[in-house]
Amino acid sequence: MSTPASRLKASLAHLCLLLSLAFSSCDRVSERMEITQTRDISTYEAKPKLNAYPQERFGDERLRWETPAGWAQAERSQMRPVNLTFGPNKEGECYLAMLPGGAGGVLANVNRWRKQMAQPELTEEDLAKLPQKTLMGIQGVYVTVDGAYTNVGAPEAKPDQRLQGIVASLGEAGLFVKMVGPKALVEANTAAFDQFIASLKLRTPQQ
Amino acid sequence: MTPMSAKPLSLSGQLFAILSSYGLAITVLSFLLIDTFLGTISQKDIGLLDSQRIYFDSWWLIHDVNLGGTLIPLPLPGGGLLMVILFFNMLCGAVIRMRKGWRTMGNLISHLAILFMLAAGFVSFLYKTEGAMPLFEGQASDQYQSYHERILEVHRYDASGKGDDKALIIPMKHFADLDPGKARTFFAKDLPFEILVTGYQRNANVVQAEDGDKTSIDGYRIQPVKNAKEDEGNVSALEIAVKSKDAAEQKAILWERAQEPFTVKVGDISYAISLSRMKWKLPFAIRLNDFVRELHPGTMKAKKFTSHVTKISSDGKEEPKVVTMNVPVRDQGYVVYQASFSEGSSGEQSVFTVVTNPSDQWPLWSCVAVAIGLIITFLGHLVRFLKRPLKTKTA
Repeated sequence: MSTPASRLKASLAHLCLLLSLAFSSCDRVSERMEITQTRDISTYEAKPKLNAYPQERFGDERLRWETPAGWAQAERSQMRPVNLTFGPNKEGECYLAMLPGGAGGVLANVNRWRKQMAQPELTEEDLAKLPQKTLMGIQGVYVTVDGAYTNVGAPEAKPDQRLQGIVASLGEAGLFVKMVGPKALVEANTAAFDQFIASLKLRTPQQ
Repeated sequence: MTPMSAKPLSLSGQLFAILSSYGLAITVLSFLLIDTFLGTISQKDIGLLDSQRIYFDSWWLIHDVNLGGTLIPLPLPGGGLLMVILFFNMLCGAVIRMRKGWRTMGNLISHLAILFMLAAGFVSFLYKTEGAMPLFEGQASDQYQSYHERILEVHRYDASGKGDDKALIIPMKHFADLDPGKARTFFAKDLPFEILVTGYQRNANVVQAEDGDKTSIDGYRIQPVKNAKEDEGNVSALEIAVKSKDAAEQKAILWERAQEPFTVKVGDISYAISLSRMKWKLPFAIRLNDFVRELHPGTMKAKKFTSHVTKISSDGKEEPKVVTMNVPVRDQGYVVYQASFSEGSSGEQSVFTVVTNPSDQWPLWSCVAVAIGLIITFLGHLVRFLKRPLKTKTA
């Protein structure tokens, strides 16, 4: 017959066994695990930037700029490291492009833009008469062309458009900022365009 | 009674006899001494956190003994195991088996108090949270960030950009073992995708990948870096692959120092995924009004750091408080200490350490109880000694 003392001893032994089993089996990890834990978000916590580019995430953004008020960021690509839209229905677009080969030089690019606007090509003499603007510390040709705009791959031209942009050369590379959209909208956003151009800066890349 | 007539002990009786023995107590205390010595010495090489984890929080460990340049692996019981055994040893030997009476009351109180202290350590190990809350003058916050615990976090934002009140988190213990080559998939019933985690590095940089690097993700790769001596200096990184039935797999590098999270869009809903330190929310906020640094005259040595703060309750009630070195602010189970400060272009930043520990005051009560038990024991001995009849020396 068991005494209270022996029952206590037996219970204690079982408790030890149970504890050691519990400790060895808790928090076991497997190849597939359900996320069950949460944390409260503080109202003081800064809201992160969603859809940030890898360069922004890793602090490796070589380009710095300020997006003008009322403008929005559109999806970037290697060809368009800065891609912005504006207008009530995002009809206007403004982007920065950098082409390592220069894409044929300043005149060829100005004429390519003029062709997109259904306007005749310019000569070297005409080019020399165009105004200049500074883009990231480099003097470039400032182009303003009105006409019917046919975007690359677009089936038909959009009438009454304005293209405004800067074509500059950086060594062998070509540097372009192009703003295009309905003429009235582009006109209304010329100050914002200048503000965007002034804010564009090139940063030393992360080593 | 002869040994032949002794009734053989049952299994539980034998276990109790071992658990309550002096031999076990001496063995455990000897190993604790060895672990404490080795763990203390190892701090200079592996830092405080790792030595604590290896020597004191563990069930067992292997210590490499250097014998003339040859490393001999020495298996040892870990501090965690030893303290659990010590607890049961004291419970069985010094509480249950001890003869109860006025003469042993002091002893019993002392031993119970030591058990209470061991229990305090266990509660602290399980439930204590500790982290930093850095604040610039004028800045307020109601959360503190862990020094060591990393988490992988998924925070959901609706189409208007409003984030949920809670974020899903994967604790570090579920991915810290995922060295390159090992992977684990995580899922949740509210998530429209699964996250495969791999390639965890405790300390790493994220660098631009070389052209043609097949392991690169978005033009970047994880570059492992030698672990910092103190864990606070480590910046972890890992790779994830987001898999869903309806979209192509998306890979990303998560880095503790990343300035923005990786975003996965499913319809109008965005999910921000990041690797960061665990953050806990306080039931009140602290606003730093003024930080005062006093130095010893003619030196840069700190004499006193004082933070004049305002405690903002959840109902908006504001209350001025002063946090200074060795004088923390205690409220609702949280203790806010003045830890350090930093000075930068944005002004002076006061760094607080916030601790919550259910057993915060238990060691103090335990020490008081041990002292009471010892006083009772010593007084009992003294009284018995004084009551003893004097023996006269006979020639």
